Parts: sequence; C-alpha cells; structure tokens
Amino acid sequence: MNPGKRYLFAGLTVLLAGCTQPAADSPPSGIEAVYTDFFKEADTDRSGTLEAGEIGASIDRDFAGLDLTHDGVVTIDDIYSKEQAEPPGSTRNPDLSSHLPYDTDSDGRLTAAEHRAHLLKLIGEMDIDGDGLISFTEYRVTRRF
Amino acid sequence: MEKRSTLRAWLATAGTVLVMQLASAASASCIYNRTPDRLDINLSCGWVCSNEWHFSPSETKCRGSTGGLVTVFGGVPTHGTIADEVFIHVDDHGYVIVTPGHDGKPIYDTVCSYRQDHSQRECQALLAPNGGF
Repeated sequence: MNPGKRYLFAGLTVLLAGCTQPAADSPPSGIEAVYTDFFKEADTDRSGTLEAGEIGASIDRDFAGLDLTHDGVVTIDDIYSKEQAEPPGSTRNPDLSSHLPYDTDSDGRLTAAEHRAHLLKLIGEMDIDGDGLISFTEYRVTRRF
Repeated sequence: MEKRSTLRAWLATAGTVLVMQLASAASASCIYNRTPDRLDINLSCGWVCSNEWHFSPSETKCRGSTGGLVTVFGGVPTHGTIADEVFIHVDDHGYVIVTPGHDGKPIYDTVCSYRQDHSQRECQALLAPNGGF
C-alpha cells in the first residue's frame, strides 16, 4: 500500500471509530442531565456509587438547607425566608406538614430525626439489591429517568 | 502593636464567617396552584431532596434548600399534542404558578416559573387534569 493510501485508510478508520462511539459517552441532556448532576454532586469520591458517608452527608446537607434559622428544628418560619419571592396577592400556607409531609407527628416542628427517618426510608426503597449502597442504576430506575 | 494584630485577626475571622454565612444562605422555592383542580406536583432539588406533593385547589407549598426541577402532572391526553406533564426549572427563591387556561383555551393550564425578582423565567402549557371541564 502506498503512503497516500495508507494515510487515507488510517484517516477513514479514525473517522469511523469516532462515528461509532457508544451513545453512553454522549452527555445527558434535559431532565436526565439535572438528575445526573444531583447524583454527581453527592458522589464526592467519584466512585459511581453512593456509600454510607456520602448518604449521611447528603441527608445532613438537606436538613441544613431546610433549617434556615439554624436552630436544629424546621418550623414554618424556615419555609418562608425573607429572601423568598412571593407573587402579589398570594397567601401563605401556615401548615408545615403540608409543605413537608414528613413532619410525622404533625406538631409543626420537623426534627432532624424525623427528616432522617423519612429520607432513610426513601433511600431504602432506592437500594434495590439491599447492599447499603446506591448505584447510579438504582437511582435511575427508582427515579424513573 | 500586638493589639493591632489581634484586631486584624478578629476582623479577618469575622469577615470569613460572614462570607461563609452568606455563601451558605439557605434558599427555597414555592409552587402556587391557582387552578380549581387537584394537582400532583413533584419538586426535585437533589438526589434526596424531593417532594411528591398533592395540591388542593388554590394551595401553596414551598420547599427549603434550593431551586430545582418541577414536574406538574396534568390530564390524560386524548386530543392534540399538549403535554400531559410539564418539566420546568425553578430558581432559588423563585416560584412556579399554575393558572387555568392557555391561549384562551380552557382545556389547558399554564405553568410559569418566576425568578426572585418576579421576572418570568419560562412558561409552558399543560393539559388540564380534568380536560378543562
């Protein structure tokens, strides 16, 4: 094979290889991208699986995000922050358990324990093989995306 | 001299704490159902930050933590191509309003997302849960 043909053959091979990349390598888009980013944010060691430490950190971070007043309990005051935009003419919903259905004793105070119990139940449902870890596949199947 | 360096250290610490507080300032987002229908709405703001809500007519619900992706479920499509579910982003401190009617057609609802400054982010049409009846 002369050098010209050899280069042409090599070029075509590279081009063909590029065209036949598996679809999995292409970045996700839309809803899939949003959900994938959620998982990646929690998967701090980039292992592709969420382990106990990462699960615990996610639960703590979520509660900290809910507890705007940093007093260890989520109340209706945490739901409506000063920064929260409210459309003109809107009325506030004062029932905490309506906003956060996991205020299980409906006393208007969501504790870290109630929050953790709710999320552990949710995470338990995600853990299809029961190994205590959440793989991306388990997350994807249970969140249906 | 020593007092001045102590003061500087205090100011630096206070500044750092202030910046950290501002950086970690928690946020929320709210959803307003202004239709006469019951609606199923999901707000996802993280892999464990998810709420599956059942809205009564004219009900409001909010979720602390951050903005995210809102899914509003509508009616079963029997005609046309209007979506039976809408995915719409909501900003931190922003809100989503679902109102009845779209383009003068009562069989649709309008789902709009607004930023914290009340400017409109985006709107989508949704087939009303009861088909407008």
